[in-house]
Amino acid sequence: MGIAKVDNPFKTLKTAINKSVLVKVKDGYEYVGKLVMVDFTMNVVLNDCVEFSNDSRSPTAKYGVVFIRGSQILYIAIDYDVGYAE
Amino acid sequence: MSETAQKLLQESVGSTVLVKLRGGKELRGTLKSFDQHLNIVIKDAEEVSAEGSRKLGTVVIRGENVLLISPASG
Repeated sequence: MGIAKVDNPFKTLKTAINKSVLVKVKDGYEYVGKLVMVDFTMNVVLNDCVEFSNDSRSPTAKYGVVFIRGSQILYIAIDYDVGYAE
Repeated sequence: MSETAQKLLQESVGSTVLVKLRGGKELRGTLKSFDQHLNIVIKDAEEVSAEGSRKLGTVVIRGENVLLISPASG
């Protein structure tokens, strides 16, 4: 049972691959893009990524591909594309 | 392993919890799962702040940032 629980949030994260996600990092920036890959340290790779600063609604930057270090992540909203955006 | 503390959290699976994060943010939603790092999955999550709340859907929270988890009633 302990083992089953261990990778549960990670499994949830893996179900979001190829979907649009919102990644919030510790300094307040948000990155919205398509989740390409994720590893067990929660490093993520996003495609067609848009950066927002501190809850502002207008993008501050756009990137083709970004790699975000897991240790900088606050949370990841994984079904951000289904009606929650805006 | 501290079985009892985990048990308390296990009992809250499926119910509404308030998660307080480092940096003053709070998220409220239905607890779906957690692991030994206190990585947490909450469904129908809302970010609650002084300026109001914002719906986020299903959220995976990195355990490192979790300050407290409180089972909320209603």
